[in-house]
Amino acid sequence: LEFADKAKREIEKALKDTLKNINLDEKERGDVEKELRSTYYEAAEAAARSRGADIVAPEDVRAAMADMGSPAETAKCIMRSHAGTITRVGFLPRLVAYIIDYFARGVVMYAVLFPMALLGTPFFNDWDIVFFNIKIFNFTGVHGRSPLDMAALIIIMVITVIVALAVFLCYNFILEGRYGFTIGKRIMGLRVLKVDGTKIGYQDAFIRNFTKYFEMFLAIDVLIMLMILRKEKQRGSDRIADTIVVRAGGQ
Amino acid sequence: VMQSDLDKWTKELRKGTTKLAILSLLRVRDMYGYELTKDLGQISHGVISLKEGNAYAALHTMETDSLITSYWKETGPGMPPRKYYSITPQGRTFFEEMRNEWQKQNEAMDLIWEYSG
Repeated sequence: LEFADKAKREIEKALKDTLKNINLDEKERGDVEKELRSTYYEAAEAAARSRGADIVAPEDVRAAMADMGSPAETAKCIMRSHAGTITRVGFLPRLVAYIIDYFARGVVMYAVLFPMALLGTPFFNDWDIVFFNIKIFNFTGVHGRSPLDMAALIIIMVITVIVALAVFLCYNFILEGRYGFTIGKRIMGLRVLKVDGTKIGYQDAFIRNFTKYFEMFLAIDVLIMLMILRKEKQRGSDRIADTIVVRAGGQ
Repeated sequence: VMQSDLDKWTKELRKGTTKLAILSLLRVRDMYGYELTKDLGQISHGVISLKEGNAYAALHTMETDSLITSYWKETGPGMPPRKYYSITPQGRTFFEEMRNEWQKQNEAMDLIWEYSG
């Protein structure tokens, strides 16, 4: 049977949805892609035949996909069957990624703080104190301002602090929860997965990143990896979240 | 009995049969993944229905264990090449052993069901 272009596009989209959760090396990932494509084509063709059509339409692809399980489900099964061959990454590459993230997070925080600081500037007579130093809290340069202006200034400052704090608190776990990697991990070619090779969620990402809020706890967490969980290559909080860091395959 | 309990138990049971069923079909002829799942469903009147991910997982594990091998084969124009699976001699031996064990378990269960005190 012939395939309508729209049907082909629908297949490629389903394929992409499945493959984005497949973290294997280039060759194996290519094999998975090729086999899945073949399966999706065969299934869509069968669906078209069963309704007596002579051209495969997008609705046939959708019918076939409904029969085969969702892309996420398929990816999960595939990754589980490869779990034994995944290689974990240890201390050094992860430390480098952490340092990169430390600065990347700082850049994002300043990107938030800077426009907010500019917003607050008109409230001051002195342009010198754009970058919040102690003077701001002494309210130097705001004498004689109306209470309304002062209220606006305080709201801007509070929002600024909240947003900057939110970036600090959320950077690691939102990025990892959504994509499986942070900017630093992406640059270092690393990715966080569940121990069984499947994708992590926000909750896992939060648990494994919690000690990063407190450097003392993080140090202990890393020491656990270096001294006790050497073979597993897991920090203590990785162990709790059931997560591992691996080399990102074929992206 | 809760439906979810039954589902859980059925799932466990199915895990044991998937491998046996796939090897049994591959004894007859080489097959590609989609053909395997479709035929398993048809022959078993829908009792053994495999989702794509589970079929892949079972096939991949069996290939790693050298029970089956695979090769790519071009098909008609407009269709992507298919990955065919074939059973190895090791797979055949393993299948016979599995089937014997399966029958032994079946007979044992029959005896238990017939027991009336």
